[in-house]
Amino acid sequence: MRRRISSVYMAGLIENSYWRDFVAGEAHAFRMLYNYYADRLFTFGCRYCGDVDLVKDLIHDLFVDLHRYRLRLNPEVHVTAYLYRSLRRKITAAGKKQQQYTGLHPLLNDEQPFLIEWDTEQTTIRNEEEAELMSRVADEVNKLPNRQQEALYLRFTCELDYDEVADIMEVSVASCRTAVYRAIKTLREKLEETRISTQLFTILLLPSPILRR
Amino acid sequence: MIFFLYIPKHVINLMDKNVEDILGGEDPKRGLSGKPAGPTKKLATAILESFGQVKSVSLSRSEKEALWKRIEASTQPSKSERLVRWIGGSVAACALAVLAISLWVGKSDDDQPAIAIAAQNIHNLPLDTGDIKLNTPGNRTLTLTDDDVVHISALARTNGDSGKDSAFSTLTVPYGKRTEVVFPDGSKVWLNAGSQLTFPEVFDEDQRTVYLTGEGYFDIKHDARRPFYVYTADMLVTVLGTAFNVSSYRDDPFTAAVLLNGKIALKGLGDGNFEDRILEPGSRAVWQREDRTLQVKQEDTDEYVSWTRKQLVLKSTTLAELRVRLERIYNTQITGENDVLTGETFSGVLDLTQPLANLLNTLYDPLKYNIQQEERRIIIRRR
Repeated sequence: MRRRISSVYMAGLIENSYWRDFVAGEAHAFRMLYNYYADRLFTFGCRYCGDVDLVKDLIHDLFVDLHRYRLRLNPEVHVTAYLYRSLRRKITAAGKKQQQYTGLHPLLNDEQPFLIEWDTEQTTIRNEEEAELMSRVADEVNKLPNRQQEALYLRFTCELDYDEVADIMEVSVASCRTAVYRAIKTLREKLEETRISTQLFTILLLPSPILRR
Repeated sequence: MIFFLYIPKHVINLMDKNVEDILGGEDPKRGLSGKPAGPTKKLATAILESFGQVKSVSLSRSEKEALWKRIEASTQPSKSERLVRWIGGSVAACALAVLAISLWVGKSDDDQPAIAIAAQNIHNLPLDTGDIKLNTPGNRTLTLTDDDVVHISALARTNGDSGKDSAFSTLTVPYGKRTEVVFPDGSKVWLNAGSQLTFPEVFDEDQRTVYLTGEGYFDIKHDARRPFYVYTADMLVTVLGTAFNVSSYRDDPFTAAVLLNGKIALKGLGDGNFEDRILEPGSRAVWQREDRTLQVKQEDTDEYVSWTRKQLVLKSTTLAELRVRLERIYNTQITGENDVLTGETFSGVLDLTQPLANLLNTLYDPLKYNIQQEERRIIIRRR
């Protein structure tokens, strides 16, 4: 099968054009925007809230708001960050409402939950050492504070820049960097023990890497 | 060929603060560091890979469509907008009233036929689960297996009236399946994945009418006394007898008709606003919903009907379009980062009897991309 590369797109071009068309009043751009973002927003929203119907409701509300205020929207925003932030806010607000309703104390910053599920059935072939290490990474990440988990997820899974992560989490860029920094430091500490034992194992079989101590 | 200057995100990661630097003890507030030390590389890789493989919940096609319907309903024009439109449309409304009255007396060309009304109510069943189903009048539902050919026999009518009061059946073909229908006159229709066809129990004496959402290949027996009509949301295809393909999926931005031999006439319906058109063999007419234009081109028609032979012929087909079609045919979601799923065009032939992962491995170099399948979802990642 012959394959011809006719052009290379810069990542993110498509959603920006949908957004601009939508803000300019183009009729079908709204649908295109929805088609592009519905799945992503849903996956993103489910990180904060286990109630899938609530997430769907809030995505509905988000798009209805977009449509209502479309003439006042800025065509040059970073679309992904804007939509993610908006949805996150709605989820937090919904959570707060529920808290008040059930009489529990209001949500503090780190109590907004963040759920990462790890893929345990991987089909890529790994050696035992790597699989073991990744499994330990998963365990330790889940023990990190929620905000740190969130920052790591946005930075390394969604592959967003620090500006975008800060935008979505509504904190400063410095806070984001610090959160990521601290999280990784913690992971390193927790995972050092594993590393040492695997390093020793490796030493027996391969030329030894230099241990930094 | 034009190449934009493109900096992949993972390179930006390296220029920004990367995991290895942090593990190496660098201050996050400062800029770049030098090369990270060796032993931290394993841990850094493990962390990055773990985050690359996080499990995620996703929307099914029908959930996504249902949610869109809710949004659409909630964003209907407000009362004041509706009033303005009503005033503007009141003249047209009078004309419609006249037409509606004339419906009692005889057939009219301009209003919606009964089959369209019936079909539009039914043509929103969820399509990503279940088997091929035939819904008959009296609300009986038959479930069919993949290889059944559906023969519609000339059943005796339950009432004695002619043509107009005929009740309708609907055949639903979910994503991942396809089927063939044979009508009493010998006409055949192949329905592609994610399609629905509504048709009367018995064809009328002066016409044979069906309503299609999705994609169908039609091989119609010639009968000058009874033209064959294919209604879609925005296009009416009129045939005396011939072979053609119609594609009108709700979530595509177009409706298209491709003529292999014979002659068909096209008429705009609903949102489809174009002049009546006769199509010659070897040409394809596309109504673009966004641009609201009708394009007619002489084309090699095989590309558009190869699906009936379980093949997909591609001619400079964009990756984005190919993905949509493969998702429907295999009823599997294909996901990946933005730049993995756009940009290239393909020419060639895909064998649709192959599992989807195999096909994707021919499109994406296995040395550079990792294709992972979990049930109804495929994830494509750069290594």
